[in-house]
Amino acid sequence: MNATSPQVPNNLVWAILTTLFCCLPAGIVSIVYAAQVNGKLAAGDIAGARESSDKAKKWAMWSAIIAVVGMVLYFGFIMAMGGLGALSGSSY
Amino acid sequence: MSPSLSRSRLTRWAPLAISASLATGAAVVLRHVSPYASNSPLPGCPLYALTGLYCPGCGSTRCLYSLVHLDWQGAMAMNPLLVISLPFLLLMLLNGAGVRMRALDPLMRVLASPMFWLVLLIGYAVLRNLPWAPFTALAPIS
Repeated sequence: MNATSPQVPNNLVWAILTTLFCCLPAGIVSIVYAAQVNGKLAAGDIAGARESSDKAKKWAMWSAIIAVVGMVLYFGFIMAMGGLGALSGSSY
Repeated sequence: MSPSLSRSRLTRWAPLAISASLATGAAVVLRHVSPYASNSPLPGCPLYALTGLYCPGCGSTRCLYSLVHLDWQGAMAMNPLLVISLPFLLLMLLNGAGVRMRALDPLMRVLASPMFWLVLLIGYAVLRNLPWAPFTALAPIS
């Protein structure tokens, strides 16, 4: 790491983890922004690198949020179906 | 200490701590609930349900279930890239927390490159959908 360049996290780990475990499209967008961080840092564009870093983080978070919301809806749906099943007297 | 290095300890270790707690939570659930069961309460991949395509994360739940039951073959059958990349992701998290081993520097440079992961993940997504051997080994077919 160059001692004079400030550290701008590219949030790559989150991008990868959310691509694998959460929402693939948003995760990929996050990786693309993470890629921009390193490129802009290398070109000396610190402000641009910070902006891409924030966007990489934001897209990884959206990916995670979409996954969590999806799971909550899914389990809500399952429980609702289970409730309906119990009400209608089906037994299993 | 220079200002660029003054990120607090908490910030440095937070990603590793968050990942470790999520992994522990997932391990506890997967010790008890099997995604292989036909009436499994664990959700499948919505992308697969919608498109019928295997994304890079498809098979991850079954893969992790096999992993926490020390079934390496089962894990590799479901999502080989996940099994292989988990130790590297752990290294990246450790690296971010400041645990650095000089001998691993060349490896870390490759891992820190977003382009590497972009090509790897998209290439993997394409290859595991090809319906002939040897690529079918990449698909989570149970």
